Parts: sequence; C-alpha cells; structure tokens
Amino acid sequence: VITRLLFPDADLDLDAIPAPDADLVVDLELERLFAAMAAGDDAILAVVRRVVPLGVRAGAVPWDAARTGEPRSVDAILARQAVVADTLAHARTARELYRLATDAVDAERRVWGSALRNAELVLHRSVDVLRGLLDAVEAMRDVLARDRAALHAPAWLALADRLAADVDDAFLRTAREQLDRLGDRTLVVTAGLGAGNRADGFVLREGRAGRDSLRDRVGLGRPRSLAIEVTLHDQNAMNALAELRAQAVAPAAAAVAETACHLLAFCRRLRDETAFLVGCANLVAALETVGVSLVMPEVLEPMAGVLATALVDPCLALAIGGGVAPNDVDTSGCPLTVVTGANGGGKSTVLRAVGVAQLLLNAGMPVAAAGLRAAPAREVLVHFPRGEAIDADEGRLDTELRRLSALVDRVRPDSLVLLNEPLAAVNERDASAIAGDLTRGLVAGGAHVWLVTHHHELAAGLHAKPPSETRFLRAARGEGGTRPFRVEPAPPLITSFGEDLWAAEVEGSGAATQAAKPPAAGSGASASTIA
Amino acid sequence: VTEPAPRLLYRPGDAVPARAAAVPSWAADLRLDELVPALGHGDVGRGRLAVLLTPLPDEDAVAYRQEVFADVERPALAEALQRFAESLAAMRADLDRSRRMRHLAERDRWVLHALEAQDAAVEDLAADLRRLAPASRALHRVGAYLDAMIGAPAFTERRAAVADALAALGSIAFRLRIGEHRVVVSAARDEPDLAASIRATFARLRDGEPEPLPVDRFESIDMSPLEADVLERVARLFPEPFERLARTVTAHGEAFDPALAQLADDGMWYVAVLEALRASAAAGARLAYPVIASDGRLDIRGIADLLVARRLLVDGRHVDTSDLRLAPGERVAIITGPSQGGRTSFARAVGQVHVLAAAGCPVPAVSVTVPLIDQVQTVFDQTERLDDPGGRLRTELRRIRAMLDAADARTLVIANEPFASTTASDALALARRLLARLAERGARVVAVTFLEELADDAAAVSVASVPAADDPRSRTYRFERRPADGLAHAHLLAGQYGLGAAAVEARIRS
Repeated sequence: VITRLLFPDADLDLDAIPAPDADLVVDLELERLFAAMAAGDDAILAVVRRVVPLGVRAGAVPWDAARTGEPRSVDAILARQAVVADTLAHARTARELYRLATDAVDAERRVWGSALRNAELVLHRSVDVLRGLLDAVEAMRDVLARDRAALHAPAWLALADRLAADVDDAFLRTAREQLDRLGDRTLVVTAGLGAGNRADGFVLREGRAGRDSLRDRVGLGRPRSLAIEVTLHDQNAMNALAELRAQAVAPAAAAVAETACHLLAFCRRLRDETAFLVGCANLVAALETVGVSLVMPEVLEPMAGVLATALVDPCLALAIGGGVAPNDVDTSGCPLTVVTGANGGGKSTVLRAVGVAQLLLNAGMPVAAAGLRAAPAREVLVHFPRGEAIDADEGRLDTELRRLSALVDRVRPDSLVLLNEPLAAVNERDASAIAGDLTRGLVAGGAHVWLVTHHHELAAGLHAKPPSETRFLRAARGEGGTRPFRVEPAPPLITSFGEDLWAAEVEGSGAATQAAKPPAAGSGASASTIA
Repeated sequence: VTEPAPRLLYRPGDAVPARAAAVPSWAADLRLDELVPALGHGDVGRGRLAVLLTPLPDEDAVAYRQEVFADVERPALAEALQRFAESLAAMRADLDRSRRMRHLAERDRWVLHALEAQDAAVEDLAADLRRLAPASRALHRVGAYLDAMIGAPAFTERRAAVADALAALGSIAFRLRIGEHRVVVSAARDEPDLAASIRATFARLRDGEPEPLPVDRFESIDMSPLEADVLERVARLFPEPFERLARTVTAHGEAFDPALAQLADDGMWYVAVLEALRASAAAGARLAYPVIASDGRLDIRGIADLLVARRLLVDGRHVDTSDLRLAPGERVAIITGPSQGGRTSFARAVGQVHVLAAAGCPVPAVSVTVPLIDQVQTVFDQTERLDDPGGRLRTELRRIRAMLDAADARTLVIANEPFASTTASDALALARRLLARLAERGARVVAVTFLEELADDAAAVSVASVPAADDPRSRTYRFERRPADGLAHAHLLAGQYGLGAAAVEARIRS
C-alpha cells in the first residue's frame, strides 16, 4: 500500500535521502528547529533532520518538471501545504497513526529480532509478525475512517480510501485463515530432482494433512507410495528430517516473510511520514509558547525575491525564548539583495530568517511571519564565515576560495545562495574584486543571491553597476546605540572617506559627509547577532 | 581428431617458453607487476603477466598475436571466448564434485552435467566463430578444429544420449508427506500451491518488487542418509530414468578433452590483457597496434604510464600524454625537468610500450613504431633498501656490471636518476662512462636525470616537459623532444578555483 502523504508520486524513503548539507544546518542553526519539532522523540528528530532540508523533491519530482510534463514543485508544495494544514487543524489523526505505526514496527523488532534464518523458524515467526501487522493495519484503517470528515487534503483522503478498499473485512478473514493453516505440523510438498539428483524445487501444497489412503499404501503391482520411518532416538536422522522440513517450507517461508516485509515497510513509511507531520504540529506549539505565530506562505512562480511582513528567525526565537524584533522585507523582483550596515545591526539575523523561511516554504511548512510570498528555491546554499581570521594568510584565503568553489559546484539556476561576509578576512580591494565577480557570475547564472558584506567597495561596486534588479538593505544601530534588529531599504554608505578627507583637508570645503568612519578592517565577520 | 589442438598464443611448431618463477626486477621497476589484479587474481594473473613479459622471437610471431587482438577487440568475440572459459570452469567444478560423491545416482548425475556443459560450450564457441568469422590465423584454425570435433559421429551420439538422460530425470515429479518421524514418498498429484495462494491473497498490499529475504536452507554438502533414502524410493517409483542415467555414464563418462582447457586459458589471456590495457586508455580511444621497425627507428605518439593513466581515468581526470621520436641512429634519450613532474612515469611508459609491443599486444597510444627488443634492463634507485652511501654506490655499480655483460643491440635500458647517491660531478662522470659502454654494446637507453649536461651531449636526444599553453611558468605532465630548461613550477592562485564571473556562470549552467 502506498502512503504518499508527503510527496505526490513517491513515498518517503529515509535511506534514499542524502544527508543534509552540514553547513546549512550549522549556519542557519536548524538543530533548534528540529529539536522543537521532535519534542523529545528521537524517531521524529531523525525524520525531520532529513525531510525539512529536502523540500518536496523526493527524487521522483525533478525540479524543472514543468518542462517534462511531470508535477511541478509548486504543485507539490501546495499538496504538502494541504496535508500539513489538515494536521495542524486536527492533529489527533496524525498522532494516532504515528503511534500505531511505531508500535507495529517496534513489535516486529521484538518478535523477529536476531538473525534467525532457519526456514521453519522464519515461517513461524513470520506468521506471528504478519498477524500483528494485520491487526495494526486494521486499526489504522479505522482511525482514518473515523476522522475522514475532518480531513480535506487529497493525500489524506486517498490514503483513507486505499486502506478502506485494500484492508476490507473479507480480505482480513481469508488472510487470517491461511495463516492458521501454515501452523500444521504435517507438511505436504512436491519436488523434482536437481543438481546431483538431490531433491529440489520444493513447493508446499495445500494437501490433505490426514493419513495416507489405504489405496496408496496397498497398491497393486508397482507400489504407489513408499514410506521411510525415522527413529526418534537417532539424533542424526532427526537432524536430517529437520533439514528436509526446512527445505520443504523454505519457499513458503519466503513468501510469508516477504509479505510481512511489505506490510512492515508500509508501517515504516507511514511512521516516518506521520513523524514529519507530528513534528509540524509540535513546532507550532513550541513557537506559540515564545509568542511567535506561523502562517502558510503564498507560493508564487515565477517570482524573484521575497515579500514578507513581520518575518522572524524561528531558530533565534526558540533560542532566546521570544522577544525577537520582526522585519518587513520586500525584495520582490530582485534576484540580488545586498545587505550592508553596522555590525550587530541584525544583518546575519535577517539573512538567517530569509534562509529558514525559504527552507520551510520549500518543505510545504508554515513560516514565522505575519505574511510571506515567494517562489520555491531549487536549493538553499550558504557561505558563512568559518574562522578565517581577519589577518588571514595565503593559506586561509586558499581555504575560503576552495570553499566558495565547492559552493559554486552545487549552485544551479533558481538556487538561493546566502553569502554572509564572504572573504571577510581578505583585504578589501582583493575581496571586493573576487566577491564582486563571484556575485555577478552567480546572478548571471540564474541563482538568487543574498549578500551580506562590510566591504564597502564590494557593495558600492554592485550599487554603481548592478548585475540585475538589485535591492540594497541596510542594518543600522538605533538611536543611542540600541539594537532594533531592523533592516531597511537603503543604498550602501558611500565610502568617500579618502575623497572626503581630501575635500576637507586639501580643498577645505567643509566637514566630512555622512561616512564619518573609515572602513574598519576589524568590523564585520561573524560577530554573533544573537544577544 | 588426430591433428594436435591449435594454440592461440603460439604459431604451430613454435617452442612454448618456460614460465618464469617470479616477477623479474625490471618488470617491477616498470610497475608492470601492478597489472596483476587487472589481469586476474593470484596465480592466474601472475601466469598471464609472465606471458606478457616474455618477448616474441620475430615480427611474424608479433603479427600472429596482433591479429587475434584485433579480433578480440570486437566485443562479441571477447564475450564468446569469455563464455567458453566460464562454461569450461563450471564443467571442471562439476567433475571435481562428482569425484567426492558417495552415492552412485548422485555422482553419475554430476558427470552427466559436466559432459553436457563441455559439449554445449564447444558447440557454442564453434557457432560463435562461424558467425563472427574472425580474421586471425589462430582463431581461424581453432574454428576449423572445433567444427571437425562437432562433426564427428561420436560427438553427435553423446550429445543425444546425454540430453535424453537429463530430460528423463527432469520429468520426475514426486510428493513427500513429511510427518514428525515418517516420510512418505509418492508420485506428485495436482494440489494447490500454498505459498502462491498466500502471495495472491496479499498481492493487494504489496508495492514494487519483493525484497529478497535471506532464508538459509542449511544445505549440507553431502547427501544425508535420509535424502539418500528418499532418492532410493524415488528410483524405485521411477526406475526407467535411473537405468538410462547409468547406461549413459558407462558409455561416455571419459569423454573429456584437456586441449579445451588450454584453449580457454589462451583466449582469456587476450580478453584479460585487452581489458587491462583499455583501463589505461581514455573512453572511446582506440588502442594502437605497434609497427615493428627493423631499422631501429622509434616513433611513439600519445603515451602515458599505464598505471598512472588508469588511476587518473578512474578519478575522471585528464591524462597528459607524451611523444618520443628517435631517428635510426639515435639510441639515447635524456629526460630532464622538475621533480614530481612526471619524468619517471614517462620513462616507465617508454619501457612499457617496448614490452607490450614485443609480446604482440596493442598499446594505449595514438601510434607506435618501435624496434623489437628481447630484454629490458633497469637502473632504478634502491634508496629504501640500503642506507650506507658507499655501499649503495657499490651495489649499484655491481648491478650495472652484470647488466653491461648481458646488454646487446636488442636491449632497452631504463635508468632512473643513476648515481644519485654520489656527488653531482662524480655522478656526471659515471653516467658518461655508463652511456659510453652501453653505446659500444649498441643498447638503447632512456635515462631520467637531474644532470642536464647529459642532455647536451652530442649522442643524446634531450626530452623535457612542455610548458602550459596559458601559463608559461607552469609545466604540464607532457614530454617531448626539447632542450632542457630548468624552469621551476609556479602557479596563480585565484583563477585556479574557477571563480571568475564568466567561469561561475558557465559552471552553474553546465
């Protein structure tokens, strides 16, 4: 039975999902989000760690599917949103299914457990496991039938229908009868002669298990049947008999065990898919306690940039327990956004908030904002400072260039790339040239880029000659050095320090203008924006 | 069939050389011993390497093998030879197994199986050879030999008898009713398959392919007394097929031909060597068939060290290849350039090409013309083995003495940093002496050295690495005839990472 709760044309297979990008998890502090979703349940944690960064692409849905006629990622996101919305409105269904599936999988582990591979033992254990699984699937069917009226998402309804149709009462009766018959101690098999004339090709038959007929025993002329008696006290003979029995039931054991495996795989998939949904419900509850509410984002395509009101970084809110200042962000129509401004002014925070919101949107989850509109991103890629000190030597520059090159390897058109203070450790002229080139190349390649930098020449260069529609945002300390964590649209401060000085000292035309401070080599970098 | 079975490796009447016991040191210096896992594991691989390392006596012997290689380059022919070898190996295993069997009906069945495998393999290969019509003399002869074998009445008769006996046994279907301490054997009757019924019932709940489940059958190697009892009852219920089995084995049980195993081994030598050499050639590149030059001319284009090339190709990297051209009178090539610049690999590659050509093999290269050599000698640094400098030089000179005694005009000497254990002026003087002595003997020399003066000597041809086209300060791993220049490696940092705007855009769109 297919589950199909999370992906339109595939079931969740955790083993097939690549490990998420470690940089993404660390730099966006996603572990806080995962922990809130898991609420102490390790199985949920394992699922959300993989599924949240994955988005709605379960391999079967290619990114540019629109061109190949398969479902588009926007449709997949809308379908996921519907399933999540049902879950948030009526969490009992997902929670009960999750509990049933988890119990069924755990019970199997207890019954089957160790590496028992003797065919007769496998057969009897498999019969037990299959009985338990039938009970579990029946209970799942009943939960979905009971809650059907409260569910609206097509994926939920389809699952309810499939279980109602496939696990009907007549099927359950037949299946349980057949399993009972496998308990008989007398086996009837047919076989042929294989390699070396040894008995081969055993097929277990639904033969009469009773005594041989008189006709079989006392035939006329050539005997119709010949018996072999095994002495109870002859241990070798009894072992040989056990071996023969094992060979005889091996194909039947495989059939039953295989069937049990299928049902078990269904329970595992359902456990994993509902784990994600339970995680969504847990996240909403956790954020509510720190005063952050969520909203289902509006998914639009094609659209560059993001339009958000009261956007916050949920991971930051979970970390400091609320009191996070929200930002309104409007970069709609802009493939490139450049954030400049004071250190500690919230540049990294807004970058993280945008990154996390994009991931949640990609995964069909609600986002931490009053309202948000954006297109799906093919992938979210991050480059944050990684201990490359200010007075870096050649080796460190080398390291960061290698990291950037590895990033470029993974960028594709429609990726969202978050560059946080790239080449902060390099002198401004070189950093601006390299990072400016990189940014222009990324935008020209069709990526969406957020660039946070304290390198004035870099920001000014992009402002003077933008590679595309570009939004410039500036984080500023509030009056009196307070930290409002607000980021407002504003061009980068013109670094006319030298010219100003020339003007002031040589031309003598008056006081230096607004850029009263030279670009401080020691500012910027990764100074934490978490209070 | 009275005519002896033809060999794929040697012309009729050629002496088959004795197989060397160990890998000679020159082959290890050329790293040809590292072909062994690719040629085959263990003894099989070492045996194939030994054939590869033994030079052929004349140009026609080389041609004899080159013809076969050209045939085996056709995938269909290589597959035919491989199938034949696999079938014969399976036959061998069946026959070995039959000797261990205690029960007559069991042993006879294995013998029957082995006969079936051998005769089917012969028929298959003969049919493949008729269909594929190989051009080589060797495979042509083998085809004629097999056709004669199949055409003989004994073969046809045996084939039919074996097939009938197998069919009769295969038609037996019996039924076992297995109780707690009693087994009843009878003929099978029509009863429903319980496993199939269960699969059918649960079919609605399964999706996709069933996962294979490991169910051990704990099958013993030998028949248990109970199994033997069952077989005995089956034979009583179905006597005719068992009588036929006994008759067939009595009549044909000795009809196994040892020449077929030799044919399979020879065929697999070509298949394995070809596969090992292809691993060193870029995808889609053709192998070059060496032309043997009787005037001493050398013209090698597009070669690389076999092992280095294979490693680079596995990693999906580009392989720099090199050329070397020597006119008939030129016998000494001096390779100079920066350390770690691929000089030794190039020298090895030149040696490898000569060895492969002399064994009648094709070469991963653009084109190859070489003289036929009958021995390779190497002078490689033995740094790891000795640490007393005086002892090192002494040992090196002793080995050179032995080498000089054996060297002649069909000897190729590959030297790697000779006399590195002594001072530069000493080394230069010694090297000049060595080269003079080798010249007297008429041997050909390829030497890697940091002594650039050697490359300026009148008798020497200078070979050096080619500068990179886009950056004259850096060197490639390509070599060609050019004066020694001693420029060090240098490189630019930023551009190496492909982070320019145009490069980034291209990488995203790719």
